[in-house]
Amino acid sequence: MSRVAPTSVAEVTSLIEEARGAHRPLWFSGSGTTPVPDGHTVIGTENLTGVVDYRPDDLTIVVQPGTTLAELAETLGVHRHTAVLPETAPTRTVGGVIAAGASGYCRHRYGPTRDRVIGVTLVAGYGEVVHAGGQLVKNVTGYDIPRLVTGSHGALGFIAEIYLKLWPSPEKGTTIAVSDIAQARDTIYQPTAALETENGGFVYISGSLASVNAQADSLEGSAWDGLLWPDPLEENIVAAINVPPRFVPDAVNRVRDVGASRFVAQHGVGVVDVGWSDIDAGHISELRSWAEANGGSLALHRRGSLGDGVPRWGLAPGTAAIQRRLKHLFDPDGVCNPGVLAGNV
Amino acid sequence: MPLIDDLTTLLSEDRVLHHPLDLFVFSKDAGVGRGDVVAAILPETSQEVAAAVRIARRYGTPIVPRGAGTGLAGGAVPVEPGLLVVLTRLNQIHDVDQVARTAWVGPGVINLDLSKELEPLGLHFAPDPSSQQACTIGGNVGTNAGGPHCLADGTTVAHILAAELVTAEGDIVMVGSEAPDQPGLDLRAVVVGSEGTLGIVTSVLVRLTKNAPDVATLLVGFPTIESAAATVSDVIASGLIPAALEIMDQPMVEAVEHFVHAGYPTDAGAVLLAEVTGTPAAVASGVEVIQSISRSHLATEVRAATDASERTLLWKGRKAAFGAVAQTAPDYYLHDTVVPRTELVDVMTKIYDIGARHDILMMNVFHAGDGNLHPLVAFDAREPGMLDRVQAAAREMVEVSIEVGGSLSGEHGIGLEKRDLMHLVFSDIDLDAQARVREAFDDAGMMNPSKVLPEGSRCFDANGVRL
Repeated sequence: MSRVAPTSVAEVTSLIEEARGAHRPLWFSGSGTTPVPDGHTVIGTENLTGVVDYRPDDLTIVVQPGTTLAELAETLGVHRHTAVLPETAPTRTVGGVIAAGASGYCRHRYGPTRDRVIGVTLVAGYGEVVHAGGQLVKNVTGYDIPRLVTGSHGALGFIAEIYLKLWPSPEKGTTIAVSDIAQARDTIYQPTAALETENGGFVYISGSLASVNAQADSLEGSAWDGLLWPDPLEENIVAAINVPPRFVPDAVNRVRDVGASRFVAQHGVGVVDVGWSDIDAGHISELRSWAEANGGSLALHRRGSLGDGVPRWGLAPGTAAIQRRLKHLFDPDGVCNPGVLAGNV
Repeated sequence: MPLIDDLTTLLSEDRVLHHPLDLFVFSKDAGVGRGDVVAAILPETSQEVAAAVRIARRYGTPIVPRGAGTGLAGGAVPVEPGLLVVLTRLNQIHDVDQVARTAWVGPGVINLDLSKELEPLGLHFAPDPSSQQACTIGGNVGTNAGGPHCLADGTTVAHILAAELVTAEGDIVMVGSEAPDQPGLDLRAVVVGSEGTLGIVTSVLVRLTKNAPDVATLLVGFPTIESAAATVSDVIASGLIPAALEIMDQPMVEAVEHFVHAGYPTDAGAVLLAEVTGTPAAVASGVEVIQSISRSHLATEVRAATDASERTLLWKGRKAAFGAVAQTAPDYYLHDTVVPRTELVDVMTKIYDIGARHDILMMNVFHAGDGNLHPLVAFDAREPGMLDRVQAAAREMVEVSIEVGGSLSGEHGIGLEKRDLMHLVFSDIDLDAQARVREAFDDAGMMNPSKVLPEGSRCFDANGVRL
């Protein structure tokens, strides 16, 4: 497996053109969160880093894909802004997070990461450099390619620039341990997150001083200053069970039953992240079938001892035919992270 | 006509309209142009929509979906003789989920009716276009509609979690899901705002927003539009994102005040309408911030709505702005460009210059918080040469917006009106990429053809060679 780290969009374009000519599959990779399948040339983003254009007064920023979350946070910190990206390893890249469509725990309050991607530059799989969206917080000019590319896992092309909408950083945050998380979530006006873990239920509130204090006062339970997020799941096997939010309590029971080492359930959102040191494939299949039967899914982000025998994704989506056409139109030779999406798209 | 016979067999006679008077009525939306309708049908289920699509396809008749027809960009006006699928009878609200704060909603449900229906549950649908008393959720999805409260909450796409879509082939599929992050590409994101060109949305899962425990609405008078705009910039720079920040210039305030008598100060150079929502403590501190920044920009008057009826009155002035223009002139042309917030003042100055140069009567009411401008030209189309002047000025206003990194539409959509201006924002390569998205959904070009993308947008083959 070879790894190339282009230093310009032009280089990315020629790498894609070469790969098409040689019928050699590429794998776009940020910090390497997603393991690279055999036989691919890796195109890394480590030489495409930094801020292209930060406009604090417009609350927008344009960054290159290899910029790490830590670097972005440092730049934005100067003006007390945040892009509300996931509370994950600070070494992960913005490009990787956007390609994965990964959202953080603040989704309950701010919506998914996708809602903050207002523009992209994409080196499409057919070798052209496509611009979509802009440094505008509101824009309905043509199809929303920036949102489509978010979560595309590189299947449509290489994400060369990302335009993000920003929020002012909250003045204050507080974390409150609660006994009845569903009720606590309902009691307060605007929780930032309502998480249940193996350690119990926690409600997170952030915003202006006045707003946080007023909301925190309406809840009983031990409170801590700051938003104390659970540690990242670093078990050998990590899955995301996504279900309609009303099924979260059921999902938590099922996850406990199969002996999860750790879990983080986002009440009101429907995401239950689970980590196991070891689990057999049968239990994963059962959980997956249950989630799918209820309109959800189970994605295996780390497969550990399960190996490739248990697929990363489950059922192909009902729109697989349209997705395949889209993939083919954007990547006619199938060189961009082939098979990375559900349904082997 | 065999097309009409087949549709009548499917839907019965009273739901297939083809009398010349019906066709005339349905040949227009709230924009300026008139289209060519072969028949307008009133399906009541997704299955009927799917069957109608298959019939129209068999006859090669283009298909155009329509909600309440309040769109301003001609999105619901068939360019080629087409079948109009009127979705107003798909108007059920069901499966309200209070845990997820979602509901399944038919495209024919009227925007304001949805929020009224949910009021007892303490929930509402956040997008609130000025036409919300008439426009439908389906239309909101089609145009990715906005409204004053999108400043904090985002436009329609942030509030649609899934949609049932009748495809160009007449199949029924689901884009998005009740669960978050459905595996695969997020087709939902491109279906919202696609103006009926990727299929017909027959049901949507809407995300509902909890009603705020407290609301304050402020009306602030300023000596100039610059001071009002500077206030908006400073409020946002202070770290506060209010629920809404709307500006009206003096001619607009005068027109509105004569129409609704809301007590707007007609002598002010500009009026800012600001709304803060949240807990009572947060609202109080937000009001304090806006008041103090307003005073530093020499606000001439600060008025706070003290109760719900006064708040409604202040908002009525804003939402009735376009109706109010009818007292001034019989026709109006409303723009919808968007610019980076920090460019507001410069662009407004240029827009006033353009108005003066073309000698047209212009009023402005806009979503200042997110840089979404709505210059409105009031005119009488019967006056010789007037329409040409209005259109020439329109083009220039779009150009000055795009020069500073702006775009063609913040919330109305592209439709027919701005289709041929897409080249001002996008390169041939960019438009070709958009055309590929469309081709993936509708390679035969049956769904609302000739809208959104200019002719010839799909212009490169798989090897990048111009077709």
